[in-house]
Amino acid sequence: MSESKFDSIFKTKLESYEALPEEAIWSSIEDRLNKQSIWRRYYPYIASITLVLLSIALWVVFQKDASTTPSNPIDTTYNNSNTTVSPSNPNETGSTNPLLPSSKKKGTPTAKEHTPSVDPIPLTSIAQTDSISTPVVSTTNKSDTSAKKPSVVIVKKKKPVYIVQQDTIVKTDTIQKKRRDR
Amino acid sequence: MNEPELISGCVQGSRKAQQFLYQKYRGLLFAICCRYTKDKDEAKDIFQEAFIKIFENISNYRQQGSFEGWLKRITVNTALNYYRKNSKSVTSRIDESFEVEQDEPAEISWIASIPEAVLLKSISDLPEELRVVFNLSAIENYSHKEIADLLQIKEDTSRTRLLRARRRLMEQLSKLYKHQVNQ
Repeated sequence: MSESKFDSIFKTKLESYEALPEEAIWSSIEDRLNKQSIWRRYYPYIASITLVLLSIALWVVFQKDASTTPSNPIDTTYNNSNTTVSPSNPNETGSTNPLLPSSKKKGTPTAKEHTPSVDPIPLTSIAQTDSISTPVVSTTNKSDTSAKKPSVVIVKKKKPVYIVQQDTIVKTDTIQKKRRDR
Repeated sequence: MNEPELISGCVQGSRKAQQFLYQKYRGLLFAICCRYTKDKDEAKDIFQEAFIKIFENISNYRQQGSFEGWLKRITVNTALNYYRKNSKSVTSRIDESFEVEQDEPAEISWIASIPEAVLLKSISDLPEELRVVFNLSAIENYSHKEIADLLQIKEDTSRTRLLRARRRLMEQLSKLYKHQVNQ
């Protein structure tokens, strides 16, 4: 079969042949073009609005992080005291395990750590001032605090708390006495 | 509206210019779509897609070749993309073994008297694989190497498909115009 002849007949007859499509096709093309033009028209506005919203959201998140990070040390000590000790009710102190063993060892630093939860008012007042809040953490960890000058101020703040601790000690002593009596 | 005005109007997004361009070239481009597809529904889909591409990319037209050629090329490429998408899901139903070229019939000039619409329909009735190769080779003048690259097939496969397409077309047209063949 002659390649050039057969193909060239098709080529010459169909190369510039026109077949008319339905009229409705233009309206569907126009609809698609309209949608695209609307998107293109508002694209810069939509992009800028989303950018502004994103930056605001990032700023808010950053501000939250910045405000929460400095108060973390105090919060943790306060929470620790809450979870380990519930000293307002003496019956509960007997029921919770951490207090009884600590009270048996008199004057141990662990007993001092639990005390701030008894009276939340001094703690909150300490939490408000940064200068006092940092030594509180240091004194609770160390047993010998009287040697340093700043710790003297803190001892004054902790005085009512210490009395409460004494209460618990007394109570444990009475329990021990009862046991001895038996 | 002359061609440069028409193009610049379309680049600016003028709906009037776009409609004018559509009216001017719709017949030519729809015929190309019909050649590459089995039915008019497929042709319509490709036709719409091609015009959207034309309007989207008209700013990239560099005025180097003819504008009509550029429009045709976009339409053919859209049809080929459509074919590639469909051919992934449909496995080839044609035996791809190499076919030896047969002797040509003595007289084929009677084909020239067949109306264009009938020739177009006979191409549309070909199996998809044969139709695409015949269009690219016979009408668009692509070489077998180019076709092989475009369709991800071997050059021999392209040649075989072209031979089969010709033979099928000849059979179809002979049935329709038997009296003219016998004369």
